[in-house]
Amino acid sequence: MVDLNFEIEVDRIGLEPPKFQALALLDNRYYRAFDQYFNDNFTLRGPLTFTKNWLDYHVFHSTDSSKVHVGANGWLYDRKSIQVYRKEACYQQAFAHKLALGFHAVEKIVEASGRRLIVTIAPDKSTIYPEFVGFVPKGDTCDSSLYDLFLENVNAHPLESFARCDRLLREWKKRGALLYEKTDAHWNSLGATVVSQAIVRKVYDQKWPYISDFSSLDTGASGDLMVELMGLAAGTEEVSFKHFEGSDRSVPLSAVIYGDSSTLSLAPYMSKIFREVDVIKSDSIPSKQHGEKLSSYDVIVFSVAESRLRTTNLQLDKIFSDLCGEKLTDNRPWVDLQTVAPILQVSAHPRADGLEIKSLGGESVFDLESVPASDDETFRILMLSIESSRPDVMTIECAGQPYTMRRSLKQGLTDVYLPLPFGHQSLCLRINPGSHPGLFMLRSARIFGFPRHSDVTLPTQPEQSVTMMEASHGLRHVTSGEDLESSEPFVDWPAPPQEDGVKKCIDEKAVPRIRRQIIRKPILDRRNTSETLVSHDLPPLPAEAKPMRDSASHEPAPTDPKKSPEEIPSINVTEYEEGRILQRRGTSADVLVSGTYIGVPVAVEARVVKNDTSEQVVPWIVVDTSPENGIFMGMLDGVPQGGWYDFQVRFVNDHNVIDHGMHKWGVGILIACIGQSNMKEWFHTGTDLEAHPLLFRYANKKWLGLGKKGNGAIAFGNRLINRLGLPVGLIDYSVNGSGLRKEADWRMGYWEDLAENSIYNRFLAGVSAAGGFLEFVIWMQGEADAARGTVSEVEYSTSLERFVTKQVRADIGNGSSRKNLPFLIVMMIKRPGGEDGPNQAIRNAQNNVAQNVADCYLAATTLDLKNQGTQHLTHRAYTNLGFRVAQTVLFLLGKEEYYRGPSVVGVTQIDTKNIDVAIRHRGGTDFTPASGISGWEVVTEDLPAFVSEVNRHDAQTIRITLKDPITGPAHVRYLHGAMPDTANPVRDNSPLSLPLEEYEQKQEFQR
Amino acid sequence: MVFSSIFFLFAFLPTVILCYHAERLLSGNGLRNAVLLFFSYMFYLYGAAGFLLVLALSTFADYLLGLLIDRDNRRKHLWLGLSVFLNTGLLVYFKYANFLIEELREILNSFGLSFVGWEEVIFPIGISFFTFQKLSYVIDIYRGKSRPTTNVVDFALYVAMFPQLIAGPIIRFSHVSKQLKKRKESWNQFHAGAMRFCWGLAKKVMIANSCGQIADVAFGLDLHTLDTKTAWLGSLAYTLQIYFDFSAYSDMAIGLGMLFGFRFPENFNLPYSATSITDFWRRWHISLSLWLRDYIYIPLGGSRRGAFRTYLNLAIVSAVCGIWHGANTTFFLWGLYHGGLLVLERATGLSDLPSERYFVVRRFATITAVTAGWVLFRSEDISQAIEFLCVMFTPRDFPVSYQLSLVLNYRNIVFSLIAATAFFLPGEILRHGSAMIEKRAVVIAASAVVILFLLPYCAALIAGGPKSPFIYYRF
Repeated sequence: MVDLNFEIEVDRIGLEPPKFQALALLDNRYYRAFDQYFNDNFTLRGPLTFTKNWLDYHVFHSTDSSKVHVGANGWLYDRKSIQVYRKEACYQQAFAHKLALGFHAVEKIVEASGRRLIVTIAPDKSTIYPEFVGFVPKGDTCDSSLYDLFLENVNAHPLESFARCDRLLREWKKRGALLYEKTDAHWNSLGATVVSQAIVRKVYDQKWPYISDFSSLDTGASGDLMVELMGLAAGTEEVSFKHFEGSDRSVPLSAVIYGDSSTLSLAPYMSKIFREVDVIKSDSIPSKQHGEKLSSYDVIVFSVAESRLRTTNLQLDKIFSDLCGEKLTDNRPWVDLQTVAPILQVSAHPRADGLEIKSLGGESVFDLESVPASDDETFRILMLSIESSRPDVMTIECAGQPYTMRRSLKQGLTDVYLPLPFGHQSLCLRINPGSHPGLFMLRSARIFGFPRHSDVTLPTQPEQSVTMMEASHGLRHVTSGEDLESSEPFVDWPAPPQEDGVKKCIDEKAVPRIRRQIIRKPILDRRNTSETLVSHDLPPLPAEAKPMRDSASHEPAPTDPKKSPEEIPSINVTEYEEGRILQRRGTSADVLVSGTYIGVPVAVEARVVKNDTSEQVVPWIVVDTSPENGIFMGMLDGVPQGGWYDFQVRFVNDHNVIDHGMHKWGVGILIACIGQSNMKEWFHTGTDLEAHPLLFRYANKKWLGLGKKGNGAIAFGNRLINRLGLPVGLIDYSVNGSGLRKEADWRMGYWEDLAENSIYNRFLAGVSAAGGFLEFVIWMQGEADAARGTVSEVEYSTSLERFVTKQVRADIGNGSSRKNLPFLIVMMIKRPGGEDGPNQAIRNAQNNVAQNVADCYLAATTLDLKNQGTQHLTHRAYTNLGFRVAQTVLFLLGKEEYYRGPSVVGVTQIDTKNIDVAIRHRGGTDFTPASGISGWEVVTEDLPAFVSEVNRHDAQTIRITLKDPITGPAHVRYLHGAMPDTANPVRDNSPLSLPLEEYEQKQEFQR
Repeated sequence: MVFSSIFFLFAFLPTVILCYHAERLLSGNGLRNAVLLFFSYMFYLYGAAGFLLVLALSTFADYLLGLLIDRDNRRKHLWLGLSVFLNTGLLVYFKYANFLIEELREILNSFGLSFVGWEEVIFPIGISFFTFQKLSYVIDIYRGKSRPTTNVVDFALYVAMFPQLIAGPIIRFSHVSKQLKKRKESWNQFHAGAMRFCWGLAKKVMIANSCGQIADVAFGLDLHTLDTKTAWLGSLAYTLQIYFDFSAYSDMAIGLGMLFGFRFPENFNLPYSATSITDFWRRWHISLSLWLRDYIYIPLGGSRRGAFRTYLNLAIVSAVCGIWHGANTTFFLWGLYHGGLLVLERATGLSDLPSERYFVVRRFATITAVTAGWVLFRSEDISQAIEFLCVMFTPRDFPVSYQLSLVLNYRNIVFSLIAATAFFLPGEILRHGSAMIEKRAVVIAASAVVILFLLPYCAALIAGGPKSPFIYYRF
């Protein structure tokens, strides 16, 4: 029976009511928060929901749950499994093929390490009990599920470690056994026992006797689907890692079982034949979150649910390095890198340490030819060691096979493991090294061959009377790396004979693509008054498209002036986007220059000229000494900071073959501006200023000038440019209404969110597209978190610190000269309403982070700036703010002596009615106003004392005069709370009139 | 705030009823309108917090202008013009500015020019309804059909009364002016109002939402996978959804009014029993139809200036009716479509036929035409509407889509079939209001059913089902 003794599900975030604030009453978000809070805490909600769901199920045989399918006779199914039931997976053939190959590879690697892999696929309930599914329209495609396609692959090339259990379960079902409960998604104890036996028999090579009497078993029904359908939540959270001690510690074997919720039910049986069993809920081997070492186990079981096959992730590189490590990588056959054939937008050149590949991005491909396929006797894995200058994704396809592999490349060296498909004697792999232009170094390519039948010692066949425990002793126990040489599971692969000609993967298609690619635009040398125009005609396929073993050895040859028009050489530089600013490193930047050409250049040289005058900035430098296949690429090192610039590129051996970039670009400072609406308004409020021509904004993956809009951003950028003379790029990824913490998610997103399409990841994508490095990050946020009223000072402080250190600095390159990427916090502005507590808490937290986290700075205090009476500053206030933040940046760059206004250094009670506040100046020497200063409060016993006047006593002292004498403990504060009195704030006499910073003396001040 | 929400049903409404009747006991009804106004503004604040000032200030402006029109006879044209300008200006700005700017931007783009700097205007809910009410108030005063009220609270309550503030019915001041001053609350009326409200609630959460689930899937399908039967199923489901959704709101508004002693005019009269499009518009959204007739069609000349001018006037009024629903080409074309049908009926004399002639054929033709119109109304854009209509009228058969099978459950089918009886009802039946006031045994029995079964089930659907606001909330 279903146990309904559960707590009502609480899946909402509004656990506390939003704090009452007078002006927040005019904000829709307040009511949304309140409505949510009310719904969450409405006492009858649970019973009403239960009633509705009960009626839906029992009366209408339906449910609104997106996770449950109600079938015939009240049978419940996991909704995901119904998709499998519909059998419309024909478009997933490539994935099924890849999955089968992946399991072959894991099997061989595991066996090579002396261990045993068992793969089972837990059939969905709808596969074993289709008769109760009810009406579900058939899929309109191929009548195959992913499991069917996987089986096709496994049948064609048997996977020895595969323990197929759907047939077994069907047989038991025919015998009258109930293997799945009506209200459960997964098999019951009986089903688990049947599957466990299949696994055990696989471990012991079918030598384990079947047990046929399961009558004593408890079915172990949990009614998980019924719980979900009824809108109830289980009382205990499901753990993703569980350790089981075996019932006999003398058994030498240990096992790890990967799988889903159903896998836990296997553990009781497994723990009888292993010394210890770890059950990990993960569809990835190894798991991403637990850090387990595969080498610690003797048997690895992967029991994936049929409906989760699509998310199976086999991390070959980790499995290989964990189980085989360095020992097995020696003396493996090497693939001759001379067989690399550049095909499109790519060139390859042999270097001493590998093959240098220049790639223009997503379209670029080269072929790796004559790679041996796997066959029935030997399974092969190709390992590519490739070095990339930036994180990227490599894509590998195989001609004539449904084979597409994508592998992430990290910055630096990555070993990529590719299981090679079964097939002909040799394969041709077509490889796109990465989606961004860049230089790659293919260090090596090696083949690992594994014999079909491993020599892992198997357990002796147990006697019929032998218990599970006794039988398990028969399995050979091999610790990590033990006697690997002696077992020698690898089969050498003789290098394929060199072929005379080059067999490209898809020759017919490649040629026209190359020809399209090299259609030239008119090439105009602006220095030349006669303006040479190069023909637009389609040239023949360039000789450089030949494979590198032909082209690598060619002699430098001057271009022939008598060439036919089709052969007129030309060169075309790949342009940056108009207005792009590259982050400087020190005072210059190393700039990638690439492009295409027609002809036979000995080498390609490039220079940088000023965009407006064509004055040379970087002289002609050879950037590519071995351009090939119509591609050149190289680095222009040390391009000095400044702009705007243009590229010029030309053949070394024919200076008339030249191209002049048309898009201006520069080397300067990139600064991210993130936060919520006040940061957004920094780009949009006010048209008082005109942006400097060197100031550009990057948003929505476009570089744009600022024109006259956005006082804050323009004041900020202009001041930097006027002082530094550099282009400044502002990366604008602020989001209106965004919170920092999840509680402050007003459905506009929150910055701690790491989901795929979160505002943070969109920001990262923008930064990545802008080059991946920044010099500063400016953060202007806090209102959303303050408005909730539930985010404490500690919580915001912890979150902001984590955001800075674990997110921003971990994910974004530091383009500054400081140890850490500087993070500048603009303090939250004076609010138009709201309670003091939450607002003060956020400001305190911002101060804490600025003080305690290395290279975090308070970029500007803003309490003295006027807001529009709503949530945002006035346009003049934005101008002021822009100057203040610029001052901070200039200070950090060593261009200014100070960036903060005065601060309070001490408070002294002169007598019962007069208090002196001592201040310390940083930029100024005196302050204003001399009298009528506002914003000061004296609090005695939690009640404010009446302040009669606050005046300047001297340049370093402010005197507060009280109306009535005070006798007890008191404390003084300045600009405290949500809406402090800023009618006459203290500002110093520095050129920026910087404000006295807020102050709170929580202890009794000095008498 | 949505009537069919937990907060409204279990917090707001009980509080209002409690305060309203407590006020009766404590101060003898002297402040009952003020109490209702306070809660009406709270109601609006909850749904459109930033626009309460717009509502309050524009109400006050019309209050003053109404008085000026009445008292300053020489310049009453001026005051009326000012009021019309203010009201239509606000309506155009909030409701149509985004659309107009977008059109302008596209035109400029086609000439290679760009238009930047426009920030999207947020639409305050209910503005279409309360603007029309205020306009009717000043125009009626100008025409001498009614006198202005001197009591600003009464006028503000007339504009902002929460039962009908968001989605009508559009009430004339003359209908409620006496009730604002003198009305007598009674238990019978309260009971009838409560029943009417529950009836509306049930229509919304049981019937309209069930039809809506089917319609949403059908209109959300990729048009390449849509076949004729699904298209018809979706369009008929939407036809039923919009009727039961909007009429449910009107029932609830009328019921709520009765709780506080008001009698609002009916807004629907079995529209799917109409025998012609002309008849349909006498039965559908009656308060809007009458408003358009009295304040646009008749001032344009009505049917008194010859056939062509009559047709033109019908087309104009229909287009206004369409665009009143929102700044979208589909609404505009939906209005023109109905205008075209009205003109056709008038030109061919179909609208003058006795209702019993060709009864079945005419009802079938009318409901088919209305259903096709709703496709235009429901579609995201013209291209979707055209393709959807093409699929409806060009036979195409695909297997039932999986998404559709998910919503074709017993609950939705049962409630949709109950809803479909609306297509077969006779043209005239007893009015709900009067029937419910009379204490017949059947009414008492129905009340027991409602309180014991229907209301708890509706509350359960609201608490446990997906949120589904009224369609007309966005107009």
